[in-house]
Amino acid sequence: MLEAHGISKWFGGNAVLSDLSFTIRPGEVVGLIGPNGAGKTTVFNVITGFYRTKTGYIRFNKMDIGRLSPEAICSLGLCRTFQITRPFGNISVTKNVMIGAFNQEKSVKKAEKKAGEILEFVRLYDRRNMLGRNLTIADRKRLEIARGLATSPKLFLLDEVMAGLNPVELQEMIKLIRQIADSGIALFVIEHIMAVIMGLSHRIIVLNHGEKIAEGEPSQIASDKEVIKAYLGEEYLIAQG
Amino acid sequence: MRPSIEQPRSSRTGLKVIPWIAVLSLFVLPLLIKNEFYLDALILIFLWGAFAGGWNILAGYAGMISLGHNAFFGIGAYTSTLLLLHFGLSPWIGMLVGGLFASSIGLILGVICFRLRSHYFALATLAFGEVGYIIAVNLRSLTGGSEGLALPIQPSLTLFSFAGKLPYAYIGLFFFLAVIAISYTIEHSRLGYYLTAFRENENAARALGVRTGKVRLIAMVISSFLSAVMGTFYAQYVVFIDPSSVMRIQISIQVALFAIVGGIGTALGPAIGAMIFVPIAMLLRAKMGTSLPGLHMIIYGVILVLVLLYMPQGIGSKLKEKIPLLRRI
Amino acid sequence: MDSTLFTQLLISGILLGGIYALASIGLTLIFGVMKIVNFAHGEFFMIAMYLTYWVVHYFHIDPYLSTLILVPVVFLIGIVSYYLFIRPTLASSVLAQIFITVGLSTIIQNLVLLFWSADFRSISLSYATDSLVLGPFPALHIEEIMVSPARLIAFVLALLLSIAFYLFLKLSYTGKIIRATAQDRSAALLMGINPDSIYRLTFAIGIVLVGLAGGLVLPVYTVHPFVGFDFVLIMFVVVVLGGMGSVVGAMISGLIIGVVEVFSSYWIGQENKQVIYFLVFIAILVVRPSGLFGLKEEEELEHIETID
Repeated sequence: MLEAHGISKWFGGNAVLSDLSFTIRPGEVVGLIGPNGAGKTTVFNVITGFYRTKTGYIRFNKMDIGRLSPEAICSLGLCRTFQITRPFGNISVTKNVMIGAFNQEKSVKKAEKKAGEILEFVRLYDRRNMLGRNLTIADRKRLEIARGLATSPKLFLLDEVMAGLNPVELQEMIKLIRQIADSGIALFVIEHIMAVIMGLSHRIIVLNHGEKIAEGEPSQIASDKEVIKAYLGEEYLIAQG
Repeated sequence: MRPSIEQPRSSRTGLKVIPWIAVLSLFVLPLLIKNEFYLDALILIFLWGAFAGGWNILAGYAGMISLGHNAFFGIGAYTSTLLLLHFGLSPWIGMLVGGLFASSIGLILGVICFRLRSHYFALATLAFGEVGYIIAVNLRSLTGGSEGLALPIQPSLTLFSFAGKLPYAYIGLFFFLAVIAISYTIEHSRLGYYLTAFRENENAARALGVRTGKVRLIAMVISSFLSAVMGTFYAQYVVFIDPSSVMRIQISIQVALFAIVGGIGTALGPAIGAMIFVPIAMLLRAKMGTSLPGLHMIIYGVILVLVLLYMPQGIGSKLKEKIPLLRRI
Repeated sequence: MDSTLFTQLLISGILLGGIYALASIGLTLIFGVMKIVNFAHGEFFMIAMYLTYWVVHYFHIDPYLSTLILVPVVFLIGIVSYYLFIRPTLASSVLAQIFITVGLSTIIQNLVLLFWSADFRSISLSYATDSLVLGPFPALHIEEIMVSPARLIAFVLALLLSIAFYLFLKLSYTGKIIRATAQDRSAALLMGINPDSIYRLTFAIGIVLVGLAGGLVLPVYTVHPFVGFDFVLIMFVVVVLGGMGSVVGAMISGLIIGVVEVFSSYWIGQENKQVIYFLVFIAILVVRPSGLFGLKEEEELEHIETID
């Protein structure tokens, strides 16, 4: 479904991403992990058209999207959330979601209806009239997801939606993401909380310094030497023997 | 106290009637006013209210602050007037021509300033407005320069010229209500939602599929069209135009003032602003004539600053909070 | 064009540009530190001109001396304006920030109109009325060049003040704090710098600088309530060309704009010259909004967080 091959991104003299390649198949849940500064959000930015890659290509459903704008990519069915949530603060939750819904719906009534359904699904319906800026962190994360879902994505990019949640909220979020995956939407998830990502993903890609250092099933990744080295350092490996 | 909840629009039939009563009374009003001075004030409220509404579509809904809308107003005024003077073309058609011309220029300006945001856009439009003024002054052969152009007073419907003020009042009322209706329609349409998203957070909007470039240009085109149309109305009503009456930057500041104080980004805001400020200016002029020049501008400036500091959402929005009845609109 | 004419125009342009540079440094500084575009900047220029005029008129003090004497007064005006109009809007929307300074500009212009009338006023230097003659320089094929002494003095003083300020910004402790605050507000906070006092100081300095420019220019220009508006447009062009927030940029582009204005004035006439630098203005905003020396690419996509 999504094919990235040889993509790279430089900021000044630094290669933030270099020669990165990966694929995501329909219905998969793929995790993206790596230490801080590895370039994970940059990957999302490149895929969704906020940054351009000068090398390689990115194909979504066989279509080259490397030169497309973010809004064009979204209308093709590729959507994302932002790590630091960006609710439309001065309008209601419902209206926030409607804006996403308009990606597919043309009429205000239909968009409103769809927004209502999605808000029920993410369990934000009772707060649907609250203004975006008054939401708690957990609700903001849910709103980000709700808005994205409203665009009817085929592939949904989630950027650290678990960050800042307390244990209860975390469990609810995990449940929600499972439900989304079960509905058939492919997910590409950036996450820091290991246990969560291991449990959710079919496959995990590990990034360090902008390069892919490992890829495989969660159990393989957990014991991969390169991964451990990246997170915990060389000394740990040596200590382990 | 800013609201923490957005009230869904009330659907009780009783409350639905109120706006229609208001509209009806506006229709009757011109007939009831016998005093020429007050009628003139009413017409100016309609004129500036409609123009401010046009500005509001770009600045309030799309969030792109323009300080150069005087150029569109002037383009409208000069286009229809020149077509009338040189070709005898009916100002009704001239109005459309002026509107189309202004919106084309607006489109070009919008494309040129595509990547500019907030301050930079404001500065670019400021420069644009100034260029308009300078062209109006210097292209003497075309625009009559500083001496301006006088319109013929030959009462005739096709020539958009009337002996009494009453017809102007009704035409003005039409535009006044039309701009409010257009604003309201946009606000509750997909375009309106997209403009809001763009205004609130451009990148989030783009990530949700909002074609921010396109909706912005649409807002620009509509806004400049309406501004030009009101320029033509001004020309036909005042029957004299010159750079300082239709092209100066003070015009832009004035309509911005009306829209901001009344309630930026709302359909009624500019109308309310006009209803507040025009009478103030007229009153001052009546009481003091020209003995205290600039006094009304000082008052305007002070009110603008006070509103921005203490009531940034505008008087109209403030009233909506306090008086639930008004939430219908 | 012969070399005499060219040199004459060039020199006139540079003399003019020096004033533009000094006047614009304050504007760019305020934007660089507080991210506020002070649309009322020209009005402070105008007020300084008026104040200098009154001091000269009533106390018969030399205009340049008067300008100096008035610096504390102008500084105070800057501080008061900061508290009344600028500080309350620092956390407001861009719309509010733009229109508060626009409102302030309107208020000041019309207060002056009301109290001091629209009459044009001017003064002339008692000691330097004849044009200075430079040259001729036969080796360069240049004949005599005329220079107005008032403009020359204004230029020299403006240049000295600009350089002095630049050095202050670069070398002094306060200057470094100001630059630090401009570059990174949060980091400055972490360093224990109180942004509010820096903003206050910066704004007042900016006002003083433009006020000095106004005073220096009094012997050359007539003063009226709307002279500030004419100048502020030029200042915006200078600031955008130089790069919003760059003091060096303002100094250099001030000179450039001065030269451009004089040459345009010659080629297409006094009234039309403005069109040229407005077109330049729009061109810069479109092609390279960060100007020649811009602090950063203001107009790139809002920073997409790359926290990883």
